[in-house]
Amino acid sequence: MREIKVEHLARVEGHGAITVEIDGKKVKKVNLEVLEGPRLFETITLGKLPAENLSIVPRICAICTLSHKYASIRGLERCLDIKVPEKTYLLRELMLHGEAVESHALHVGLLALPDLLGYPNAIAMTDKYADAVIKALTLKKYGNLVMETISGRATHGENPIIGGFGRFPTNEELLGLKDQVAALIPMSEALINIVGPMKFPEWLDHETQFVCLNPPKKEYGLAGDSILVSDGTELDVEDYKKLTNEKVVAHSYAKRSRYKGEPYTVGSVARVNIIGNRLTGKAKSYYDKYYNKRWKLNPLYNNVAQSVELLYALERIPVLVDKLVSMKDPAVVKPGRDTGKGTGAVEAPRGTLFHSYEVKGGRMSKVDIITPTAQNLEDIERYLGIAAQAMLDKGEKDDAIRLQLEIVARAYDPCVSCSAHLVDIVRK
Amino acid sequence: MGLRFVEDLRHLNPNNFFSEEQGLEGIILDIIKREDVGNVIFVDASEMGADPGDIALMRTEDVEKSVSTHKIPLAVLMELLRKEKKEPLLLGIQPKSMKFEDGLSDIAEAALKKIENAVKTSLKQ
Repeated sequence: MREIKVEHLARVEGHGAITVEIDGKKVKKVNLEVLEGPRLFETITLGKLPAENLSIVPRICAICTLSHKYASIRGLERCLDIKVPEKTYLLRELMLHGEAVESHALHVGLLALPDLLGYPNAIAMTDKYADAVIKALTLKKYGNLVMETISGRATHGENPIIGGFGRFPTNEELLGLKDQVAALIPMSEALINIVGPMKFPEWLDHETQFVCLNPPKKEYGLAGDSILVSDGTELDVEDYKKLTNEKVVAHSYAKRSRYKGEPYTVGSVARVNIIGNRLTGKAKSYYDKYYNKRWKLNPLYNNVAQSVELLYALERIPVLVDKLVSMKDPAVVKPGRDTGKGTGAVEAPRGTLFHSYEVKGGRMSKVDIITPTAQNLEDIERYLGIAAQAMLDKGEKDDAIRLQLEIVARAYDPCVSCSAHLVDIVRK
Repeated sequence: MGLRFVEDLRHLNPNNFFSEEQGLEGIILDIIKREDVGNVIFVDASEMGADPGDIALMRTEDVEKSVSTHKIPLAVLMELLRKEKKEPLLLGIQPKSMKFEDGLSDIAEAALKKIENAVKTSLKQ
């Protein structure tokens, strides 16, 4: 028996490692280890005010900070019987699209692209693809600007609050965001045209399940109150545990999820696989051009899906701005009660994110947060096993196997810090 | 450490001191466009395997190529600047520890002061 280890998974958020146990030429076991220690966020916020919870939980991650913020808001507003007016809802959608632009530009343009182009790292890539790197940086910069304009900061902005926003951006600020989009769309298209035509190895293809939220009005979007599974099931978001079925594993600080006993994938490729036919504009035309049935089999297509979503976000932003500037700023909606339960869900860049809460007498009494990467870990591990076996069958050396394992893991754009929460602590 | 460096010295030349919290991508992109910029110096705590407080000036090829948590690798940014005809350098300070703690250690403070005094002197010339 021998092991192949990737001691430190590079070009992903957080600290993870991969161990493959091999007996002869057979893969016996694959462990994807989340090395971030338990973060204990679900315990830290117990007993605190909902507004405090809202400030604490985005600190789970500096990348998907607004996704955590918005999922938390949606859960808390259900607990507290708050229904927000349309302008608030649309501005929240805008901020999520800004985050998607920022995150996907970073992942596709700088973290995954070296893998996809066959370079050992992004530095080697700058020889021939400096232009692509600059485009990715420019797109990321814009995403940060959208996030900063709406939330108050590029990271951990406090402007989104329960019931609304502390301050609505001015029309001038919103139109400023819209004005920049025209120059960015060709950059986004350039990125799609690099990754779209790529051929990914068929030996990695394997059937799996996909999950995403069902945005309202049959639109493509990043928030919803029901969950769509690729087997045709639709669940109310309050029934998220029927999907996630979390369990603890010995080799990792992150819990694992399976649906009907099988791994599943969330994220861009899941969204495109399930509701890609709802895309519009140029994003739709690239979906029509590059989408094929192998997107349901091969995780490397998540990179292409992210690039299509990036374009969709850019096209959606001006539409949202035009609506927002025609509306008056609403007041913050106050809670209708101080006790209640509720689950909020959004589509973070990496996939479906759940924040489920119970509030009693105005204080947090139960907190359950299930992140997309935690849900993906079982499927990532499965595909790592497929990749390792295929590489062994081809007689590849350990270094080549290690690289392939990293490429597979990176394709999911995992946020390891988000996934690391292990234990429930019960106060008696 | 880099943030403290910029906070302490920015007033000397606001157009030429930037911190990460201003948005790294935007800073790099703006620097690429500027014709008046030759050298670009990154200041940061750097794990160099040296003694705490040691200071080193490093070129792109000396900088670790792997990525920290989901950020753009510093080495990539330095290489990008180099390709755009700038001369990037990393002024690294070996910390006592890379863990999150309350403030800088005494050794780090002393090293930072040394660098800041050198920069102040250089700017006066």
